[in-house]
Amino acid sequence: MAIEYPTTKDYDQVVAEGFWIADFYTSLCGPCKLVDRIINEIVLDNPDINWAKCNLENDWGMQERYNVLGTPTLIFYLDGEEKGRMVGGFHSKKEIETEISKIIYGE
Amino acid sequence: MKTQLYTLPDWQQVLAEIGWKDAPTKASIDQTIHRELTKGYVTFEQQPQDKPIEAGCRVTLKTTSVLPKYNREKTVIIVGSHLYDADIENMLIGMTEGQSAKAKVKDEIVLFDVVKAEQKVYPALSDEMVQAQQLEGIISLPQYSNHMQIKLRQAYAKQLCEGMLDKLIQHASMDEPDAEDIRQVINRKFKPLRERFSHGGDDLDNMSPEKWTETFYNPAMRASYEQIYPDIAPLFDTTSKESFYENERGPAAQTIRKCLVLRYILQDNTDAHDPTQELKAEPELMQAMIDRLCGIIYMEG
Repeated sequence: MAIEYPTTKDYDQVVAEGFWIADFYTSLCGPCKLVDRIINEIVLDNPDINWAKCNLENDWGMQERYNVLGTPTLIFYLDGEEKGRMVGGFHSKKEIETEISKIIYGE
Repeated sequence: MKTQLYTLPDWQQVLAEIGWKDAPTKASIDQTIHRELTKGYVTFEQQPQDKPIEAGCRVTLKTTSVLPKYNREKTVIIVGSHLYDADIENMLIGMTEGQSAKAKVKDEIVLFDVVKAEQKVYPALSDEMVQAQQLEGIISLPQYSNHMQIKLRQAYAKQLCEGMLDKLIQHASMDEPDAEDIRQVINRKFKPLRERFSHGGDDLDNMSPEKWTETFYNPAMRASYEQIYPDIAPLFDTTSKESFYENERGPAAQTIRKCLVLRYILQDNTDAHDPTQELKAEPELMQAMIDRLCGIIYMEG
């Protein structure tokens, strides 16, 4: 299950603990839907991975605050610290898993 | 439609030969419902010490090696998650808490000590979990179960229908799809695309090949768009209107064959289900056949 964050109010607090994927998207973005499906599968197999869905249409200020240059943008946080990001909707599940794996377990 | 179908093998016999023994059962549907609804609510608890680790367990390891990645006091992995080393995840299956194993990674020996093994705990299903799925008009467990049952059964029946049609078309006696029929089927498909991509004086009828290529030609995107916008996906593999028509010839011929077979089985000769006259002929005929197959599988099966 993804957690929807309508504003930036509690965002920093939410991603402060554990591994989080912050998924910045807009409702009319097709590639965002693809990424959504992939993240859903990853989270299904990995209950320790948390997923925050951030609809930019609810708060465009997030775009500037988190330097989101395009949708979808995935920002990976480990205990509150940004560890990496992926921009665009044409990453395979394997590519996203590899990125997560590197962050959690190292290379 | 000029293309004619003359004879068709007994479709019910073909269906029986293919069979539907792997059709979703109540148990498998319930399992899927459980899995879908409880994601995000799953917790872990210590599992009995003698219980072997299985896929889905959370395992805390101590790793010892000269490799930094594998020389840690604490590494937590979910077995079967594909995020750690797949071979190591597989190796852990069947082990128990307190056991150790050695494995070779990048030519170095790594010692893995299973410090802790936890099993998944699934909470009881609730309406709140259903509401978190944000499905329009579905707010309770019975509604969700019904929705999933229909969805999974229909998905299976669609697959079955495709397999049955392939066999029937292979053994049917019918004309090769007529060139004019093919052109009309493609016209039907092209029309909404042309309407969708017409801006000012620039539309798909007069777009230059350079502009077309710049806008659409990206075969890598086609696969992605097939999942999101299947209606416009065929454009992403073309370089001009002619190229689109050329690409669509095969699929259009297959649409004609499928519709002929489906019209025969369903005894439907209406113009509304003539693919040269209606774009929705094929999906509507398919849906009617899928509904019929669901009836056969779940009433008689």
